[in-house]
Amino acid sequence: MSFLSAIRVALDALLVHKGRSILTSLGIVIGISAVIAMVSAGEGARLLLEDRLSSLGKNLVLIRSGTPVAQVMTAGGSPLTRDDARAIRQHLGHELTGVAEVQQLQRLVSRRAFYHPTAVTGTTPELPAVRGWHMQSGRFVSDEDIKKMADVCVLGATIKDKLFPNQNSVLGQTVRLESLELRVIGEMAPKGRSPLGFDQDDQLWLPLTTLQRKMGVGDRLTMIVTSTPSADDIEKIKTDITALLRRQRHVQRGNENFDVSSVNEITDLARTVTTVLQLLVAIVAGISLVVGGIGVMNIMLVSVAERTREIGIRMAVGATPANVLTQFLIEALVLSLAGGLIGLTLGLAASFVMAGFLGWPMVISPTAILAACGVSGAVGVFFGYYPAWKASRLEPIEALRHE
Amino acid sequence: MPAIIQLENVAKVYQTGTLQVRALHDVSLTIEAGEFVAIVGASGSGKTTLMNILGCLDCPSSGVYRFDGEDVSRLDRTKLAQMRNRKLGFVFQSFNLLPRYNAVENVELPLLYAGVLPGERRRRSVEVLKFLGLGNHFQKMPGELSGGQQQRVAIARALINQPQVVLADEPTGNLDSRTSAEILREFQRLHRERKQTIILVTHDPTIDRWGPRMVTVRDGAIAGDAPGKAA
Repeated sequence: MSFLSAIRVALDALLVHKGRSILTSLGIVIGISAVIAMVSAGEGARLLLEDRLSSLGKNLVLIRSGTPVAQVMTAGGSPLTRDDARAIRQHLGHELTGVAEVQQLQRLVSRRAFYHPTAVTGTTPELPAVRGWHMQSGRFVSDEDIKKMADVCVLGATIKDKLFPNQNSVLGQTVRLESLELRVIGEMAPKGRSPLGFDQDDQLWLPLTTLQRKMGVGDRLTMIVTSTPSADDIEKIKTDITALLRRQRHVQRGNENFDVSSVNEITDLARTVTTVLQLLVAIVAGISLVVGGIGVMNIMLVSVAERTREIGIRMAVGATPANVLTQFLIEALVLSLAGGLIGLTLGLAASFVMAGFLGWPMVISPTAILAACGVSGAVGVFFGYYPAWKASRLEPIEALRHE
Repeated sequence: MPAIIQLENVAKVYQTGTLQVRALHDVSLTIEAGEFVAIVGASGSGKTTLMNILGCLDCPSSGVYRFDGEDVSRLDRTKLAQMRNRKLGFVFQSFNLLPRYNAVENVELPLLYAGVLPGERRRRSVEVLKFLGLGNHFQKMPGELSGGQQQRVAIARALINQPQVVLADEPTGNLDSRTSAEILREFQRLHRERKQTIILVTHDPTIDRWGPRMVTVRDGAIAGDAPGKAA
């Protein structure tokens, strides 16, 4: 019997009980659509996360003061100072893309009648290089500005819109920060939100010295930011910085009053979380597929029992056991593959809707699609085999006698 | 005439639990190509068992069954299925048509398993149905046909693969006497016009009118064998 004829026979048999066939496929439909939707959502979330992480800066290494306790920094201890930054620059500068000092405060910035609370960051010229940030226009804080404690600032996109609504270029204009009149020398290109949801464009940058001396906020650095040209160097540079700062700050190993961490750690953690989530979804989907498969097996056993006489007739006119086995196996396969295809469609639709609502990139993974088809086919063959085998073992005279 | 069927000391024992039922013992029978044979006997005499063995639906427990010179007593299930498909045609008492298939599709069924292509299947089925006077009923479902018409469809299905032997197990058992006569006449016509070898099991008291060789089975053995009247 040709394969095509076998498929036609199977389809005919399935169409007799349309409702039953559809219900039987439902388990597979749900399993496959869940897999497709969740894999797509997971991929989308991961891409979004990586996008945000890379906006923080690639291969970023952060140095903060305090003691790391269970992943959380406790304040206190001796603060980081410009001397620490100078030491790093002097001893390890050749291995780094730059070393930037950062002192961050929350302050109200104003221009005429516009007031806006924002993150005010005193920093040094290498910050854009370290974080991979670009200027929209103008320039960043320079060494000259640091030396002169110049009254200048660089605006992020959000604060610029707040203080200068509907203005294209704001270079040369001034904003007020407490008692200081700051001249705008540059605008940063928009960077979007950080992985923790912080708007990185709602910031004002000014020379670190201006902040420390003219605003009298002390010389306690929030952090020192640096980065390496290659991700492979991060672990080594972290070790080197830690050793250097231990000597610089006269502390023993194990009693560090500072913390050196990299953004890649966060990335790794995020990846682990997404992987674990995807694994959980895979397990749930796997269970649903097994349940679906048992449904297929159940309905095929019923079908074989109901059609015993038909099997007898087919055998009497020459169907071999292999013919009968193939026929029922194809029926099971068609049931589960149809379920798989419907599930695939629903899953893609669901991930499309999700991507639309959550603003994630829509990711269609060809691997997931192939796997969905493969798995539903495998479920059909695996759970369809026993009923089909039972059918093929029927004795023609017994089967013919069956009412 | 060469022997198409040779049974030598064939016995059949059924094992039901601890009970052994000897359905056939020591049956020897030779049937030549082109013969018209009626197997008669009371119910329980073993004639259906004999028929199942002749039709390769069942295997003898002992003895030898040669079909066209080939020993088929110990063939496996696949080989037996192929025998039934290519060399034998069956007609059953209860027609055994597939209820969801129309007349042509039912007749085509053996060709499906013989690997004949769809176009050729249709052509041959239509031809055989016409031969049996069902030219207007190709698309009808079994439920839309009378008993006699259903049995003709079944006969068409039995003939579709040009079998060497047609076996009929009580083919008129579910039909009224007028229709029975029509069906028996159909078998006689096949025998006369096509030199078709036909073996039928029957209770029909009028069977000897159609002039077959009469083999009587009693208690699992052959009790009588009267030659057929010359056709």
